[in-house]
Amino acid sequence: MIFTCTNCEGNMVYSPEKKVMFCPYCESQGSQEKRHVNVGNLTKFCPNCGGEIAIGEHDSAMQCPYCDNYIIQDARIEEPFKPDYVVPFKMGKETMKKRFKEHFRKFRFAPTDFLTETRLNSIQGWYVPFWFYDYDTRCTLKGEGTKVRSWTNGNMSYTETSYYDVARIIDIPYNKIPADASVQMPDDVMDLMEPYNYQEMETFQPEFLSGFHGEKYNMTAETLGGRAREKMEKSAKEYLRSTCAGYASFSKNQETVDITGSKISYGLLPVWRYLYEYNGKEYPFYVNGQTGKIVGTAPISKKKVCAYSITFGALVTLLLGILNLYAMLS
Amino acid sequence: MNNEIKKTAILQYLSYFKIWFIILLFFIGGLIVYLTNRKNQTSINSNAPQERVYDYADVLTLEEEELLRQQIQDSESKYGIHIVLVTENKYIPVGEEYLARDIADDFYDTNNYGYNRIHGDGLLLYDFCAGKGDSYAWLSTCGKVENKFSTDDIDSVLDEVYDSNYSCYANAIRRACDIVSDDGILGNPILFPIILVIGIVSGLVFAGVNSVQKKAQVTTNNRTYLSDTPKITYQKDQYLRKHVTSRKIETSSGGGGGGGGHHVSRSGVSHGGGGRRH
Repeated sequence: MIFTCTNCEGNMVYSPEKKVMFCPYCESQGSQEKRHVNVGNLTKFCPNCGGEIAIGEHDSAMQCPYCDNYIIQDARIEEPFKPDYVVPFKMGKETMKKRFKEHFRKFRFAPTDFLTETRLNSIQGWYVPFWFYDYDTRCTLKGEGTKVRSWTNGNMSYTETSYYDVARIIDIPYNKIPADASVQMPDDVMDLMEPYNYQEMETFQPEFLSGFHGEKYNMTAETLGGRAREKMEKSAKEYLRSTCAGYASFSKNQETVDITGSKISYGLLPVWRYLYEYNGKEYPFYVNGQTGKIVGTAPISKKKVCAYSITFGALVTLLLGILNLYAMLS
Repeated sequence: MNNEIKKTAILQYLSYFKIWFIILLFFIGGLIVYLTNRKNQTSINSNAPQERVYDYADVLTLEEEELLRQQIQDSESKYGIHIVLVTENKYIPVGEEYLARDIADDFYDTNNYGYNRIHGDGLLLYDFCAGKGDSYAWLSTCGKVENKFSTDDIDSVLDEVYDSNYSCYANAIRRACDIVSDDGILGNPILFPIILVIGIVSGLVFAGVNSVQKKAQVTTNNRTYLSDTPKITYQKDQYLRKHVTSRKIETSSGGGGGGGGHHVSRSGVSHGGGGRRH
């Protein structure tokens, strides 16, 4: 599938800022035409230029390396891979570049070309497949809590510790706990990018994919169920514990999280990815395409560390030396 | 491209340290001005007499007196202190050495000596000449010199006054100036190796602090994915028992230390000093 402009036949892409389909060639909006190619099969050649496209095992949307048109693989966005939801990109490439520059501006030891336009132009927008898990839970916490009171009388200090039998049974409903279904996206990074604002979640439309890279789920909902459940249980236990905040200490005797109902859905979440190569090593950076939250640490240039630290040390030595000279001569 | 990156890197470097470089230039400029002014510096206390050598005991020749005056004049502008030498034919009885102290202090005070102000920074060497073994020398210090001269420093100056003659006085003045020069008047200077260590450590700390990066902060909490307010179906907070512990509050008292070697002269001026027989 490819979206073309009815005015100029250019490749139309989704504009995060304008929130509509946009033609970067004639700047018209909403004039897209959907062209299906190889329905039910993978499109291995670009419908625009005929160039061969490298398709990854799970890729659902990609860019033609020859004409830069964005191609969507029908076979990977239709059943059983059709997403229920999508959170569209809210921040475009230019906004991302600005955010990157702001975020790492104060980090002096990053290589000088780290934030150059040329490098930052390689940022790519990815729709990452996620399974979403809804849970209805019944959570139980039982244990012994203490409350401590201290006072003084004359030259004596008193401490009173009171013990309580504490129990809580709470029904906690969870909505769309995400677990990324992409092998190439690191789980810890995807977790750090949360949360996404589900209020802006939309029913999936292929238009959202045009202009970005995309993947279908790499793993089934059953495979990732354990990870989502782990996240839910951690959150539920923290919540249970927060209801006993009035106690100075708490020792639990029983803590259970029982699932009374669950629902699974599938969707795509927006992520910007910037791969920076330095001294033969890849440094990946990920940005939440909706909130702009950046995850990643910049590489450190040893030359810069030496130059800045030696200068700083030398300046301190010189200033102290001069002050010392004042003291000696006064 | 590489040249452009290098240029950018240099500009970033200069931009980052520009404030530091300005401060450094300011300090260097200040030091130059200070050194220039210091070269032409004279005492700002015009109430003190010009005379510094009072040879009442007549133990010096006129040429020796002149040489001492020249030596004192050079040292005063260099170290910012008044230096006074007095000799007198007087016997200080054993057990009444405080007389020497009072006479020396009074001489300094009544003549309004003090480099920076009346009764300010300076020292006075008073030699009570009464023959070998009976003579008594007293070194009176005042102002910042008083604070800087330790008992050992005073002893080391008096070590030079083993006789009442020119070379002893000249050496004593030289020794006193060395102490002023070594220790400074306004504060104890730090040794250069210590400054170097501080510089190296601060460079390392700078490198460490600026290398710290956090991948990202966790921005979810236990309420992020709640679809509705959790419903508490059962809650129990039942009191079981209590126990009370008590302890006696310990009180402590401490004392302070004191100092020595300093005194107030009869005219109410703070002095330091010491003396010995020679």
